[in-house]
Amino acid sequence: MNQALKQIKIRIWCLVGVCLLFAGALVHRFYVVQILRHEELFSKAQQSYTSIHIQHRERGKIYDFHGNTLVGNMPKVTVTCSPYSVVEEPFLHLEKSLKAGVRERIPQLRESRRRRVAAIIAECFNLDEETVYADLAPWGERRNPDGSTYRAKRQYIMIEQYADQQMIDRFQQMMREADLHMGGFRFENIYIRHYPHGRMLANIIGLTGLGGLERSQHEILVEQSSSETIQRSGDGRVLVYGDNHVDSAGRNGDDIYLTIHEMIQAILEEELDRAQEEHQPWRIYAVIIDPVTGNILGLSQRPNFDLSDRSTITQDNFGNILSGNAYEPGSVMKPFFVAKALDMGVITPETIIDCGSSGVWFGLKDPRGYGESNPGYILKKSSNIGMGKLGLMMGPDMVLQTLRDFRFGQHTMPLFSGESRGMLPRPPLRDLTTSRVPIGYAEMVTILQLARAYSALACGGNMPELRLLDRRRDSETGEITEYPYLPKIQVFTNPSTAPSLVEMLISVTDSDGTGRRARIPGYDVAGKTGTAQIVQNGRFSQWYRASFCGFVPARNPRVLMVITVEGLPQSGAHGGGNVAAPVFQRVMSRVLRYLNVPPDYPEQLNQRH
Amino acid sequence: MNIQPGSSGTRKKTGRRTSDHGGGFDALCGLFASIGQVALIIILFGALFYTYIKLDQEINGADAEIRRINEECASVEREIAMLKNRRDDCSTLLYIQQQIARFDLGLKYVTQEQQQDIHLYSNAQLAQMRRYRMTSGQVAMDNNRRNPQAEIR
Repeated sequence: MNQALKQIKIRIWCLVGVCLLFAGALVHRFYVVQILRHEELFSKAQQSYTSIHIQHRERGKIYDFHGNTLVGNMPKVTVTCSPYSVVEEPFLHLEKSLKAGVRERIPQLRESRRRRVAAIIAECFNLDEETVYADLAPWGERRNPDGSTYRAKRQYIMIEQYADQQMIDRFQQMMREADLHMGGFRFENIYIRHYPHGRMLANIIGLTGLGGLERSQHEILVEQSSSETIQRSGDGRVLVYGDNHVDSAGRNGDDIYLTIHEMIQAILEEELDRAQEEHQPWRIYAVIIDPVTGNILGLSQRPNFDLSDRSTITQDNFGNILSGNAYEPGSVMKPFFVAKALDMGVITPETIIDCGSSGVWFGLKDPRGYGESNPGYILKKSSNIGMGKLGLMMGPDMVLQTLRDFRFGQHTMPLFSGESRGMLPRPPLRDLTTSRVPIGYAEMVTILQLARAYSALACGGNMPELRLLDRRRDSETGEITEYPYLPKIQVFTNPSTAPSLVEMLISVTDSDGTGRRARIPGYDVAGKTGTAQIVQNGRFSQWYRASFCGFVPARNPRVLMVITVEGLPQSGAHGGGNVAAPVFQRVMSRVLRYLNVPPDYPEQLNQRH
Repeated sequence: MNIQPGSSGTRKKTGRRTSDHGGGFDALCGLFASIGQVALIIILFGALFYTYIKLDQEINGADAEIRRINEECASVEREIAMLKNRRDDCSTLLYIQQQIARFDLGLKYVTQEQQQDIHLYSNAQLAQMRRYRMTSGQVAMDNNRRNPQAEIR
């Protein structure tokens, strides 16, 4: 009896011991998981059910003065997928099936699914089916640091970076019709830049981050994506009571409005295309501004590229030559020195300068000897000898001061990186240089500097600052902020200087002036032609640069245009009056109609007003 | 009669003492009462739990619906953006010229003599034009207009 009891006690104690052992192991495991490794395991678990959802926002748009879109945003979808999730995961549960014949069929089912999905992807996204099929391989090889390889799941491939919504809808519909699950595919909504006008303002706008306004105004245009942390259950539903929060609200980029008028720009682009086709020059620069406000209404260059087609970009056409290229302008510089000489009392409109009878003087040449001429006639005929002598009359200091007063050698707009300031001759000037500067040699200017300086001639000596940015719109509040008009600079001290000079410039477009082909019926046109020989390898070459600078209506200017055509052969038309002036005339005729500028002489047009 | 104090010939009748049959009933009633109390508590908790589950389902459903509607709104906004882009494409001069050439419309630019314009400006456009013209020094021209809403030239 005692023996039996003793045995029972032993068995009970053994049982207790086993239970204690088991409980001890449980407690130990509990301690390790919940206490020792809590942080590590908790973060791993959190990673598996926590995801960060990023929603891309729109970059700021660029509009013209009237709100027409120059650069917009196109919604696109980036399609990616996990080949392992698409091909392997749907069949994982079947591997545990005990039904006869099921497990043997799994490879065949996988292959069939892979083929069908590849066919649908290839059809919807215009891809090669065999390439897609190869990309959908669920397993791949990865390399260890020691060089050995191991088999790994392939979790990411890019199917289409910029897909249209129609493609996505069709893809989803075809997958549904084929009874194929969409698991493993990811669709991310993005925006890409949209350029409805192609080549228009290409070099000014630039590509995102690569130049032009897209680069210089990046801080204003850039968007901020919104970021949201979401926790999901195992079946993918969002946990309402999870730690869901918005990390950053995100915002669209601000929009900017330029001073450009789309129609004026389109007119300019069309006429430059025509000039390009007609004369086949190396380059064309053109800018149209409002001389009173300094607003740039249009500017263009050739060669250029298509913003919506990057294959058109070459080394020659990508840069912004309107602000980056400085060149010897030639005779278009003459009015500045005449104006300064008038203003300083060196000459009067009636002063006579002997331009000689031979047409040659001190290395300067005229088409013929113009004899004794007043300043107006010198400008009208663009006499180099007359201007050379005027330069010597002014002296080297006044010549240099003229360039500084008209702000050559200074930046025009702090918008574009790499803007050239041009080049002024260094003092002290020799007599040779002093006689060459007034005819547009020995200094280098940009077309924007020329436009700004001519604005002073057009507006009574008041030189405005050039403006390309007109206003900015906050994407959140819609508030419009105007960019300020900077104070003008008065260039002349004598109030009679500007009117006298304008009359002289009007005479340039008379029937016997060098700029007669710039005349516009019904309007007085003030302007100056320029023809400069291009220097190559330190010597004057057989190539020319033709320019015309003018403003209309002459006595109450609304528009001013500067155009330079560079790289014209000596054998063909290469003068400012033959090449640049007709382009000016065609452009300005259309621009004046667009702006509804009343003509100075309506009777010439038989027009009712 | 020999009557003893404290005792009578009669017996007091109590439920318990009456018979075994009366004591069992009481026990049964007590049992049912206990069961009822437990059941009541279980029902109460059950009801609370059911309400919790139901509300949770409702909240989840509403949340899913909100997300679905937000996605739909985002989709509609994208569609609007695409339509605006299409409008911009169709209003460019290049596209219009291509369409003129494609359909051989025979249109050409007007000459100065042919031009007659009628403009109907909105209030916002008028304000913008006044702002532009004031900076351009063209205010005097506006003073001659009799009807700012329509111009015929």
